[in-house]
Amino acid sequence: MCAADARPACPVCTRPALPEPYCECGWQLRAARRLGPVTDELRADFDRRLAAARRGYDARAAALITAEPGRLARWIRGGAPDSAQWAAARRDAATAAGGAIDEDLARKELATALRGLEDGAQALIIEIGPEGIGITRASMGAAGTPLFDADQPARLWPELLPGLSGHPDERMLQLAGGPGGPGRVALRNRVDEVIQALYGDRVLVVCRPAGWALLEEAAERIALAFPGSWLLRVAAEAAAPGAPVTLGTLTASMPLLHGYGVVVATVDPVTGAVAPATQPLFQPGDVPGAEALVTLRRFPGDRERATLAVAVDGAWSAEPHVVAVHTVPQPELPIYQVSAVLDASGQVRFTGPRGVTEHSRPWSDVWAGVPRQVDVRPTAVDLVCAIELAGEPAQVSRRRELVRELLEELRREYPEDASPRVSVIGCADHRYVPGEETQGVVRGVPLGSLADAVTGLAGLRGEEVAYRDAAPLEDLLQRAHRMLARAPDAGRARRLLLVAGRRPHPPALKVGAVPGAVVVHPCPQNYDWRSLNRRLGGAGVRTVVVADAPPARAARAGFWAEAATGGLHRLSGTTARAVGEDLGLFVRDGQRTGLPLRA
Amino acid sequence: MMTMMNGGGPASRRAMGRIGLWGPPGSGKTTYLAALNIAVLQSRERQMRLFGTDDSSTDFLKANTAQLTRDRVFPQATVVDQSLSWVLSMDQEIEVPKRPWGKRSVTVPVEINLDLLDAPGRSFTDLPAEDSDGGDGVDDSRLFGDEDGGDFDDLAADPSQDVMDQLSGCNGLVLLFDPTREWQKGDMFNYFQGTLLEIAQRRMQGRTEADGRLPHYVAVCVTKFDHPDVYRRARRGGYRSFSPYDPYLFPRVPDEFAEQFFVDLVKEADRGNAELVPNALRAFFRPERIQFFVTSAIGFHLNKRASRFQEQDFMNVVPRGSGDFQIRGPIHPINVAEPLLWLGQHIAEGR
Repeated sequence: MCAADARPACPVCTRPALPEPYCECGWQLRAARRLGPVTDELRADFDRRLAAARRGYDARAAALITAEPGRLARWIRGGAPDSAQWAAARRDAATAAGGAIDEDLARKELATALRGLEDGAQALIIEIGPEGIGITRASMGAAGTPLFDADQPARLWPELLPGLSGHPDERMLQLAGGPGGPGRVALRNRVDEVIQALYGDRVLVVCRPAGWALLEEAAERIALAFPGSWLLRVAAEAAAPGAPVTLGTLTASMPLLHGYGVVVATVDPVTGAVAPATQPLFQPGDVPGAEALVTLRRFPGDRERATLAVAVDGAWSAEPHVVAVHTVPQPELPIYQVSAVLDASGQVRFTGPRGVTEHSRPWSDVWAGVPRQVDVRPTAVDLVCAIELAGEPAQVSRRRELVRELLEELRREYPEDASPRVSVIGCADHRYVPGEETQGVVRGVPLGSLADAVTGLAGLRGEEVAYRDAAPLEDLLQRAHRMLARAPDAGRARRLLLVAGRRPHPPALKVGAVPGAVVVHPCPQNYDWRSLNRRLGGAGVRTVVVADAPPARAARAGFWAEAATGGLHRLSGTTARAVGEDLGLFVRDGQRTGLPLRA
Repeated sequence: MMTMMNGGGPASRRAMGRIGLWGPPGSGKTTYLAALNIAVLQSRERQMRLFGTDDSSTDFLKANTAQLTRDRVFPQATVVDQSLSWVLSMDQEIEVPKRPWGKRSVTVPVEINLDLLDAPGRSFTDLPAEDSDGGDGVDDSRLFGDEDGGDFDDLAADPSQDVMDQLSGCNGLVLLFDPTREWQKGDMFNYFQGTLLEIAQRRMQGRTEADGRLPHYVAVCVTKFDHPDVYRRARRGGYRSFSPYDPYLFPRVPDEFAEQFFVDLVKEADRGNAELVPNALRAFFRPERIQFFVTSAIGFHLNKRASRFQEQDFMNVVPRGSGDFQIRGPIHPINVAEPLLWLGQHIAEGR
């Protein structure tokens, strides 16, 4: 008993006796005088009633702490209560804790209070628990996630109220309302001392567990000190009666206000503009301990480590609000899965695949290094592979092999449901023979699956050269344009690969100024390669040309230069990978985003 | 030798004469001869008929015509001298004396015997034989759409004396000039001069014409009008014209401009002296007995859809993958029969 409370104490609750006839605990402190001596019987009756009252009082406090009657029997005056007394004590404890909310509802109330915070505002969360008084400041991050910061170390009860028992069980009993607790004045003084100079735009007072007398008094005192504050009385966990209640666990176990997702890159199929997005990882309401599995896709051709950045789902103004940054090795297969655990709000831990590590750089540095425009189009691509089929068998075979290798690379780097649509076409020579001039010279398979394209390529066999000085490349361009013309309706990127050795036929006979110069017969269909190139370019079709042996000045003028809007390669010195990079099918080294794609 | 006959009666006339084909190697003589049959059949201006007088002449006509039309390839070069004889029969308008004075025109059926000596062009060289590739590795005897120059190892080192004798005895000469060859080799004048001197030596021996000139009629045929380089120059030079009576509207160079066109063509050559040929001709032959023609044995390509000449696609020869050339479609010879008709008419009239 505090020296400040020098009044006589109630023999049951040991609090300073009130002037009223009955103590708060229900013990009658005063009665009318009675005539006659105090007999042994009267004394025995008094002692019996006092013992029972004490036992009941102590049992009710014990019942607030544990469901086991024998656990705190040592500290119950008069010994362990019998079953009837314990049942009554449990009922009284339930009444004392009546109206308390459970942990889940408490977290929701906490979340509601935090959501209402304006930008820059701070909430003060004062937790009164069996350990002491904990003070946490909370604000909403830029992403709408709560940020918790311990204002100061928790003030523990032994420090605040030295008069409490040094034994943890007895101390809990005292805090729950058992005998030997501090007086009300002393408690209020210490509480006032703790909360002086505290400020918050919104104050939440959490009393947990509800029903413990001293905790309730402290919480009520604090709530009164902050007008407009929220008082949350939280019941003890029913599943773990008697389990220690730790300060800070409420905030630490808060569910997510907003979902979290893994930052992925999106690429506009037409412009190539890179923008961030998220692949959902955790949902709003997920609590710490939740596990998640997300499927990601690597950029075609990218085998380097990727950045796994966890960001808050929501509307961003410029870039995602990232709460965690890791790196992950990307596998051979284009699709892979990542597993994660939500440790707490803003704390995500990746548990798979093997090799996930924390990023050495902050997200701002990572994002600054992501190119804003790339050539690669990982989705929605239409590709036409056009091959000149006439020529030396070995040369034709090399042309076909290049296309085959490209198709094989596509199969390795693209998941089936995101594969480009591919057409493979080839041309035989125009035959300037009566009755055959206007016959079609292009054959192959239309835009379709990779498997169909591979089959179609196998069916395109080499042809003999029927016209020495030109090949019907203009017919190939015309067919390609016809196939790719509809792609913009579907928002698809369009690509053309032309593998050839000779120049195309002109639309009309053109006689040069130098006598003896080779004069090439015009296309019998009157196709104009220059006009077709312009139309392909104007429609956004990127064309890569692989020529057997482009002339030295080919890059600057003539058919090869005009056709090769995406790059001109020499057949003998190029690879399917290099061609694919120019086509925008595989990522270039200098254009790695370092981010995964949505699967 | 040409013999002119008209169909019986006192007015019928018949003159004997011979026409010789003269030109450097690869100038297209065999092709010209093969195209003549087609030209005769396609002639709309008059009904003509051409037939051989012996088996070899008939066989030559059949075989080479088939090569041009059915096989659409150029005839093989003539390897050995062949003496061919055909008869070209037509209705010909000639001027005959009218008593007591003057002349009148009469149309008479005419038959011309054409004894053509198709000697290989090698026979006309005036210089020792040189490599057919001119030392640059390119077989220059294989020019645009032309027949092979032949295997010159089979020929005698010296020019054929028989050929020179027969040429000097001809009444008319068809001189073929290939402008594309002149641009490449520039040897037209060499061939022409050497042969001309041989002819003059033989013809002038012991007999001198009144004006000191050779009595021959000469039709100079500028060949390969269908070649892009030749056609381009005709178009740019303003020589090209079209006949409204030609349903296909094939372009031509009118005969009156043919000599000037020849002069313009030879100016393009960086080497050679072909521009001396016209003067040499006028020096040795009577000017009124010289006529230039611009010809094409196979003519221009005819687009079936358009059914007429198309400027943007006129080449009737296609390079094949093997490097040789093939005739693309039906042939429409240009000015192939006309030089012979002119020769025949003038020789028949004795002018």
